[in-house]
Amino acid sequence: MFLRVVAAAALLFAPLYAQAPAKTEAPAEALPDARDLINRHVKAIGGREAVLAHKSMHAVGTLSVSRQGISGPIEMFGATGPDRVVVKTTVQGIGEILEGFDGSHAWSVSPMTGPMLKVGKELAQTRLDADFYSELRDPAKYKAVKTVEKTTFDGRPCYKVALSRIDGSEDFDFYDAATGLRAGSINTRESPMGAMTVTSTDTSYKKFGNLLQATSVTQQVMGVEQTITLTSVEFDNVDPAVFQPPAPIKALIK
Amino acid sequence: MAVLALLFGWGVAAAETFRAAETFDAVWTIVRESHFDPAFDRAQWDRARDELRPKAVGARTPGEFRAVVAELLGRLGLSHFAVIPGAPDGPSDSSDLGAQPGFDVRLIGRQLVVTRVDPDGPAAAAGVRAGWILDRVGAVQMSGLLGGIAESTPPRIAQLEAWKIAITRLRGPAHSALDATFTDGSGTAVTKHIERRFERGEPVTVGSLPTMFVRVSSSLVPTPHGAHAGVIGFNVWMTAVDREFQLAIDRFRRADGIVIDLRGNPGGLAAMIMGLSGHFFSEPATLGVMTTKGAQSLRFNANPRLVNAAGERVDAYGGPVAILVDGLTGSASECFTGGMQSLGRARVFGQTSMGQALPALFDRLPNGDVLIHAWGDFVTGTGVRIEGRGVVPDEPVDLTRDALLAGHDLPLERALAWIDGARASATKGGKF
Repeated sequence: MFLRVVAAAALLFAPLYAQAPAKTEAPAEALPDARDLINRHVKAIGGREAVLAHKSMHAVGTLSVSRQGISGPIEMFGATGPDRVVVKTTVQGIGEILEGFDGSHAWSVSPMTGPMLKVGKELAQTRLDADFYSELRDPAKYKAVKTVEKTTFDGRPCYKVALSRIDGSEDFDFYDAATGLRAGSINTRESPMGAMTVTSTDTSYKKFGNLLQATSVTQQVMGVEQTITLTSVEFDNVDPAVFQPPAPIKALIK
Repeated sequence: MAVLALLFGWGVAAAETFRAAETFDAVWTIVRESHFDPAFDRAQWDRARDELRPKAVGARTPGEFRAVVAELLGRLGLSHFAVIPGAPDGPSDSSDLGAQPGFDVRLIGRQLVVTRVDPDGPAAAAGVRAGWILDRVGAVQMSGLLGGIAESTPPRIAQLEAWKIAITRLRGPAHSALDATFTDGSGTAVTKHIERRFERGEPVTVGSLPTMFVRVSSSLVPTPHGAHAGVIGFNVWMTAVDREFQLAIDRFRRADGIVIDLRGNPGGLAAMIMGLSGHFFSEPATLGVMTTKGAQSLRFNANPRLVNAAGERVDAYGGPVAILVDGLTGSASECFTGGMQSLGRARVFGQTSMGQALPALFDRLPNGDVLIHAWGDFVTGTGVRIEGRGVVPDEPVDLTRDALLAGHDLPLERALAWIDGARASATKGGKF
């Protein structure tokens, strides 16, 4: 859930790049059904009931762009009823970068660009990305899901699944053929600078409460690589006030 | 061999001690993998590697090694390919240029002339004045060094080369001193003993980049016809500028015009041009487009800043905007200025800018140096490529020694006069 949002949000000072080098193998077997792959991932992380049991989430970690020596804390909040999300990143020398969605409005506040309301396609995508139960890949949010091929992703045999979202976006998930866990994804999202394609690699799954969560997410965007490392994930202890838009955004909404 | 290495110090230091092979390979690979130009000749780059790698690995000092890397990067013929040293070039060198004497110079004709003196700095205290010619620093004659700049060198390149010649001698460690000899306003040779002091400003460090000192100035000045213009200047594009700039805009929201002084501003975080330009637009507007490898394009759009520092809804500033540039205006400053100019939202005064406007990344190298490397091209909203050309002012205003000696700031004065005219035009229903 969070990491999909972060994929779109965190790269606020670097543009995008696409396509993990995936090696296609000759289809020696029938491809599994996409929905089965998704369900297998859900089962591997703890099961559908375990996912649905939670109503909010708070994660803390570090964002780093190691080649540039940039790093800083990242904090993410998510909730359902309605779906909401806030991501705070603090980078030394740059300051705090904030992204959020309160169920109606999506925004960003950055010392580089100032406060911004998301509109149009960017807003529609953020709305879908805020799905608190995104691990389930809710069929109501997709026009179609289809297993495209068996390939190699992050050095592992994976099944590539194409997901056509109801907002018109097309994402790709990669599911580890051995473990069933999602190994990564490719997402294209609108930004104020244009469409950006992010390739994410999910590793180091750890258990928090009754759910497995990838604690290391490496994202490639236009030749820039950044890594989000989660150190803690808590459930059902989030103050709803955290999703309130900050004052400059409230002034823009009026 | 190890004992001999210790005895002779730098002189026989093996390249492995400063990781020459690994570092050279990293530089070469990063450029090869990220170069944005579809016409980039990879075969030629491969040949450059074959030719220069042995020299790099055979270098006896970090300085020799960096010279080879500089030669490699120089073959690209583009800006924003450079190495920031992480350590001195040699045992007698210092990479500490963190302190400065409190004055700046520009090339006028074939002479380095003092253009600005920090009123609170050591040069001002020593009596240095704008308009004085910098003749010598210690025993080094500036004319001798400037002679190495060919007469045929384009003015914007000559300006940068001359400034580099000066700055490496004017700057140094804090509390060190320099003896600078000038020709003053009366034509008399004057020698001043000036202690270097740390740069003023808010220290900002981003990743592996050296610490920069951010300074923002703002003042309300009268125009020739009695109107008032807000003049905002800042020395580098770092986010520490944003709030001060916002406060200045709030202060000058009813001013008859705004002048943004980017003279000597070499650039910084390119994304900031979207935020600062937004103070002058009610709707998003494309300042320019960056294209990276694989023809991936990103737009630098002005983000309308419709909320003031107090969190209140405001209108964007709608009055005339002038931007001052000179030969030391570079990179993000050029993208901003060129973009504003292309949209017709600002009029540009001064001298043609550096022409070094490629968005760049920076990578820490194995030897501790930092590689700056361009990873995109940039054109303005009207398709003008600034790299290699610079931003050409709408009103070129050359510096003159006489004007400086008389206390005039000609580009600023011309901008203020233009604001008077623009106001008159607006009163009659014209556009800026």
